Amino acid sequence: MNKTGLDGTTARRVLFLLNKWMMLIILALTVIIFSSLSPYFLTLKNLYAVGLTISVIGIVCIGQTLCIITRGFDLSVGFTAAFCGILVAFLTGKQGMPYAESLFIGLLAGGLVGAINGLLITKGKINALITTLATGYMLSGGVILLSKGYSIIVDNVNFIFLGTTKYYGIPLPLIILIVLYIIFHLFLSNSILGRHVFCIGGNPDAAKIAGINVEKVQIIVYIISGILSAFAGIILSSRMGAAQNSIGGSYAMESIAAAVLGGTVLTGGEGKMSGTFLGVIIIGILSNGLIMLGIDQAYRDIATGMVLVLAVLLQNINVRKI
Amino acid sequence: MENNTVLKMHNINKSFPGVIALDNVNFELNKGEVHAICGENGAGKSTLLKILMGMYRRDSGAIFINDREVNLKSINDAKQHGIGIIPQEIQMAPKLSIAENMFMAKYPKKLLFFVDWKKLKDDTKAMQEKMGECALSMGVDTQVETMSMGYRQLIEIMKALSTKVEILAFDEPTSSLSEEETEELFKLIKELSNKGISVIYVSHRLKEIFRICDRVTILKDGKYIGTKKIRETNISEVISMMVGRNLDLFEKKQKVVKSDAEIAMEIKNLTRGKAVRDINFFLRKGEILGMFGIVGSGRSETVRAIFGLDCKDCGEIYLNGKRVELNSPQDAVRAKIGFVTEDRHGEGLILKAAVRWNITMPFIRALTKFKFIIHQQEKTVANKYIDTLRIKTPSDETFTENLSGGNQQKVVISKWLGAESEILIFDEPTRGIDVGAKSEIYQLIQKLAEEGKSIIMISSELPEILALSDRILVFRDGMINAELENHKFLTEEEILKNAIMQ
Repeated sequence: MNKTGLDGTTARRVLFLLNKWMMLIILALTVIIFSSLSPYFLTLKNLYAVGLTISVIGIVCIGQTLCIITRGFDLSVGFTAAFCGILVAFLTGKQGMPYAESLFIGLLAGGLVGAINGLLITKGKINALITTLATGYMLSGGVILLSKGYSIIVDNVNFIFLGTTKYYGIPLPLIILIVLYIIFHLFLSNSILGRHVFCIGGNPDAAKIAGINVEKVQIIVYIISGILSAFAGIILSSRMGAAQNSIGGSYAMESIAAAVLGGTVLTGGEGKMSGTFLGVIIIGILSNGLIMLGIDQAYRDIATGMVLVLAVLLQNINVRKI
Repeated sequence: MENNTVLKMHNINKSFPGVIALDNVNFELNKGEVHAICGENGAGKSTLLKILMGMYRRDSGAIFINDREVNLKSINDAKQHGIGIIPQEIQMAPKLSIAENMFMAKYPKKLLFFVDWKKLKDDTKAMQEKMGECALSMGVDTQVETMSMGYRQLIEIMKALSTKVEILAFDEPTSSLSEEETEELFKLIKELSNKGISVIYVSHRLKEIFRICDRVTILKDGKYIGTKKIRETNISEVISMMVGRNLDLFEKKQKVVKSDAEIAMEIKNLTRGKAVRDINFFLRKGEILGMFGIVGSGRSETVRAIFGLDCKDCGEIYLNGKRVELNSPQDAVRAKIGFVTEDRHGEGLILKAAVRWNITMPFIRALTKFKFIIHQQEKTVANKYIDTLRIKTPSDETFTENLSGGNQQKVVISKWLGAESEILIFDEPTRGIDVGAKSEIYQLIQKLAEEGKSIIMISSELPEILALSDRILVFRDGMINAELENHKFLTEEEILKNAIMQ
């Protein structure tokens, strides 16, 4: 405790404001720094490029945030994305299945992965980290089996629609991303299920005694995460016109980083979609800006790590109530 | 006798947020004596022990060991002053051997950092030889996992004795022992005291205390009541010292539920392992049914099984005469049963969530349209309960962790009022709540009963049970040992007798 009274209060207040607006402050700082270093940074074209890059990982982050709020994790997101992307490409490109049908099957597969994760975590009582790590491994094996080690190139107009369409210059994936964030923001803050997600994360035992079906809500959360990851993977392969077998390895880490940067607490019960959205944007801009400055991947990763530590340190300062 | 006092604890005070756990407590221990500390649940026995062990810091007061004042800041401090404890729940590394567990804190070493296995085993063996046949029969390499609780306790005792110990405290040592093991333990305690080790024996099993102790110190509500020589007292005197009270807070209620009121709930043959054995009882509409028993007597286990939290081996539940299956808390909540649990923080509240969220948790469904929460309505409902129950909170947005114990409890009760529960189960409703808030909770419980809610109230506080209940079920060893009508002449002594003795 600071005993000088007034100074202590002022310090507390500054820290409180810093904490409340931290995400926007960090975002503003990065934008100011990059735009002063590179004239191309603040062009609409570049911003759309950033939007396109973050749209895939951004969708994954929605599910990850939900999982973390319920005190869980989903480490299988990247491999679910890769697997379902490949699956859709395989069905459309190699089996000649109509795109709508294969898209549906792809999303269904994602949901199935989520359901398996959820069932293992709730009924099997396996720790979420271990469960999703294991299913992640299995899916990465599935990816190799389906792709036989090569990318699957798809020559189908419908297949590339999701990833390459633009409206008024705005890439469709970015529009999808924004719409999804709005939907899930409303879901989380207004729906019964959304409230139950918070209650379970806040105190699963209390939630259970209050008559909430804790296991059901957890399973639904993992299903949502699975479907969203699948959707992200499908959009990515659509954008590339081909399903890559090498994607997805870093999605789990990136999505956890973005959620935490956005104020989601790993011990559960706290988190916001808007926070995660800002977290995704900050990571995207950081990466884009550093690339533009010609800075090596290694240093970009170091910078991302440092920003993450800084952000969480600032959050903790407030928690400890100096 | 005065000059062989090994331990003197003088005017010890300790308070936790909202509760005074110890209020000027005194305790003296002579060399080679077996001295019991006894009192009801929450009397302050464990707090006193924890202060002696350096696990809690006292707020004020002094501790003297062999007439020298000491400041016990940690368990290591206590050890260095020759104080050892055998805790109620013995914690060991189950996969390690007896020898490894015994010397865990200080393995004999060789070549700087390698364990000297030979010395470790020899030391263990030597210790066992000192303790006698029973200890020797264990071997030194046996995995602790395979040993019974009695043996584990013996290992713990040897572990304590492996350092120089003058004072050895036992916290409810017989609670998980079989009869033969208890006999062995008593023999051992006698031997220890003959060797000049002073023993503190914390228990509420009076029979045991009268068998093996020399003196008994009685605590009640964190206060020191007195110390008696066992030879100069008897069980009923100790019981009356444990319960005697002079608070008008616990005035017996006047109005009693009519004995022909309809039956709201009936339980038949409820059984769950050894904790709940063939429980049968009924609950009338508007009645307050008290459940008393010492810790582990099966009261909480019974209501948890009824509420669907723990599964039951067998048993039937009837609500308003109709048989129901309550297999999960969801079923129970749907059947309009509410459960105010003993562990408010662990099971009652989300500490890092708004008061409003906590209140509406069980019935948020009722405040929605097309599955979407109507926030204004939620706010109105929450504030209605904040007003009517007089919950002291800056706003409905405040996190419940910032509320006092009494107000937190009111939030928990609001949950079930909002869920329109007809049967309310209270498990230790006033634990950790200060006296002022207690009377408010009592009034609230009585008001709910008058409004026609049926109430089960588990409590370890006899005055609370006597003041509020219409009827009292006394539990012992997982069974209902007695059913008592709470008439004018029912005394705390009689209830306690039924809880402790067969």
